[in-house]
Amino acid sequence: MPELPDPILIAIPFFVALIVAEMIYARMTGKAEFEPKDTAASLAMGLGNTVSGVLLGFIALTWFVYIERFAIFDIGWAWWAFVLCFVLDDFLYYWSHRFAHTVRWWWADHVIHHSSQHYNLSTALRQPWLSPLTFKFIFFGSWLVLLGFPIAMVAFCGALNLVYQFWIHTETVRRLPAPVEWLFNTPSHHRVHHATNPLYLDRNYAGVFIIWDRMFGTFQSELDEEKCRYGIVKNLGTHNPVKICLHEWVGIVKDVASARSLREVIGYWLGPPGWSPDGSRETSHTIKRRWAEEQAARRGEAAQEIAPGTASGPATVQPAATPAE
Amino acid sequence: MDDSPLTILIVLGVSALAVSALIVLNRLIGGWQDVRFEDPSLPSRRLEEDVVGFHAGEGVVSADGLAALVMERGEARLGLVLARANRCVTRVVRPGEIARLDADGARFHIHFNDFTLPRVTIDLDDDAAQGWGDRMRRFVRQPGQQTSGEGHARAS
Repeated sequence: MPELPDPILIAIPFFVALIVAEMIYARMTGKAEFEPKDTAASLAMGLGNTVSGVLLGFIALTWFVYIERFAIFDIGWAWWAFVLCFVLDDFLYYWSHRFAHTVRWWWADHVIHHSSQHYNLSTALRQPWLSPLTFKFIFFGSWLVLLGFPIAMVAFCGALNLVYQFWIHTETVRRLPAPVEWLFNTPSHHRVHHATNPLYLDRNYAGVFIIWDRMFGTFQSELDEEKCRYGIVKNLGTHNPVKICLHEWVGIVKDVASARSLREVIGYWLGPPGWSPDGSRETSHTIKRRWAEEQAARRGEAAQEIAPGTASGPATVQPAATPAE
Repeated sequence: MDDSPLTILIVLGVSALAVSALIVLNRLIGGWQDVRFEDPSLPSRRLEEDVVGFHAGEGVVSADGLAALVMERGEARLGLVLARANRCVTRVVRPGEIARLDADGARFHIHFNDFTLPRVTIDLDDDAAQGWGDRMRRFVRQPGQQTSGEGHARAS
């Protein structure tokens, strides 16, 4: 078994250097924005994530060591195995990430990463502290080990995937050459993912390869006329890292405590974020639908204003962009 | 790589120093502009952007320019916008979603059942305090009223 380095540990000095560089570039050009309290919160979350990895990492490792004995193949350490493992890991990352946005139990963990209203390289480090306790690794991390990829290889490829995702958290890079934008997750694609504009909600789940979003109908390109607004639907009123870490868990506990049936418990716990028994809250799906209806109504009004009483009026109005459902 | 406890401690210690240095650097080089509300136009726009279906009506800005209240047209909901450094935090309040409202002259303490925004203090001009105080009271939870203000965005 080869001795594999930890890509994240190696990358940390580069992360710091790149954040400094982006901060200075942002100050000189105005193409990005850092605000100290937000930066402090993001970096504190990143540091806490590292500590929690040390303290809680054994949970996932114990699981993977246990299931390794059930592996179908013994794939070994050939170079092509690394390539295949990296691509398959990215495919699984897409689905894991998609479920992190659509199941509240996992969203409670992932929302931390989306909780900044800024979008810069420090945002990339705003990571949750309690991920191992959500047991998402059982559902999405087991497949490669069960196929027969060595645990260390899976961990190595997963870490490379995360390191890749660091640099795409920036507003300083507008768009890359078309072939790159077609194949890879880029700053432009990931800005869309972090935006709360209804058009952009729950889009572009990719880690490294954006092709998964194109294949599974969740791709949305960044539009010049729709500037990204970052954060979450209900932005946080605090920069306190502990509150950032716990806020959605507290919401789940309160909601579950108020549930009047098993159905409500399951809905509050495993339903989409924003689910409520009476539909009085808004899920991403609801917000997108209401927004689409409002856009359609506005188009109708505009059409009437442009050509009242003429049959050709509506055809002159440009349809608003709609999500790539 | 060596993963002994000492190495981990050194990595964490160096990381903490790097984090502190980055925050100090951010503060020193500046580049952000804190939001101040001059009038209700910016908070109204933010509410309409953040909350699909919210159509801003009349609004008022706090004396320090750090908070604003905006009634929805038709007065079904009350919008609250807070300036937090160079960004805004918005909330749309429905009847029963203010847990408690304390008034001290023209100063209002609004209490929410909201883990990240449990209390907001707004100083209004004396002229505006009476009318907006009455409006806010319409959104205060009544004894025995069931609300669950925590959680996600709420529909109209």
